[in-house]
Amino acid sequence: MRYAFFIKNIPIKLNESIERFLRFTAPCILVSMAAPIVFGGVKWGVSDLTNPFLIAGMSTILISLMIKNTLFVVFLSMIIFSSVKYIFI
Amino acid sequence: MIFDRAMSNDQPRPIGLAAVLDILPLAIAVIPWGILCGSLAIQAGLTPLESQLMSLLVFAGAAQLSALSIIGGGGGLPAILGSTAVVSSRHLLYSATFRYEALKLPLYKKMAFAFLLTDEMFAVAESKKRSLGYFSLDYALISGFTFYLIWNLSTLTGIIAGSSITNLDELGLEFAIAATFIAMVVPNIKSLATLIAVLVSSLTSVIFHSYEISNGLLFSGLIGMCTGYFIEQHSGKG
Repeated sequence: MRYAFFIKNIPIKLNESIERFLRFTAPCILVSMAAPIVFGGVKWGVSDLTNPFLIAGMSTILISLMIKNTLFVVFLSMIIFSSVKYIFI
Repeated sequence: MIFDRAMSNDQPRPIGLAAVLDILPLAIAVIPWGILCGSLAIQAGLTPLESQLMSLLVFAGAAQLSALSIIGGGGGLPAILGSTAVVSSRHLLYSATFRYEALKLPLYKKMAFAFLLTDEMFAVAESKKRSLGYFSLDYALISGFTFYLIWNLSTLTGIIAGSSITNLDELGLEFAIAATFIAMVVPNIKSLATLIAVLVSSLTSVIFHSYEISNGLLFSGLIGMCTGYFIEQHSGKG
């Protein structure tokens, strides 16, 4: 799979607009993997205000707007996730 | 910190060091998954050697986990191949993105690059390509290999710990992955088109997930990409 488009013989010519399209690959695929983890278990209702995935996921979005260091963001959000889980479950 | 000197230096870091430092947070975040993968392989009935070879040769976290759950459930080879093809289909997009760079490389370098091309390596290599203005193969290979090394060490840990870790999947390890991806994407949202593309992808992937649509990941990614592209085209130069 990973090798597919590196093969010269595949007669596909990627023009500039396809390149522009492909520039959205990283953000879109990554959030497609992250979103169901954060929101997948949410059943809308009052009880879900204590869902650790939801709370910590939203916190992660806020923290990553402020801090650029990926490792530090992940570390902080894991602490939030564990605390929320410990408090409510 | 051994890296302090390099980090406080105003000179640009050597490309190899930058590659290791950039991929390190992502590699650390994937350690719990590697441990989970190793212990699941043992529980699914693979020998320790087979379990390690899976990480050494396949090197694909999500595909390995889905294959293991099929093996554990007694599924056959067609099911394993099918699920691996579906889970790995996003790599088609990754390799398309780097097609021009890869075509210039000799075969063995091309294969090494393709083998090490993971979600994480793709993300750092693409972002580096944008900041440098050109593609660095060394950067891609070093960050990819660092990730490979840590992935295999964490699988090994899981194999050694074996089935003694029973409630690993209850620790919320999958949240570490979600947090990593959020932390990677959010600082890179620099245009309205990207913002909307990301929102559309998130929304559709949650909808596909709740209806258990297979291949939902790829579809939601593509829908978001189309949206972003469309907005960029229609908002002037973008």
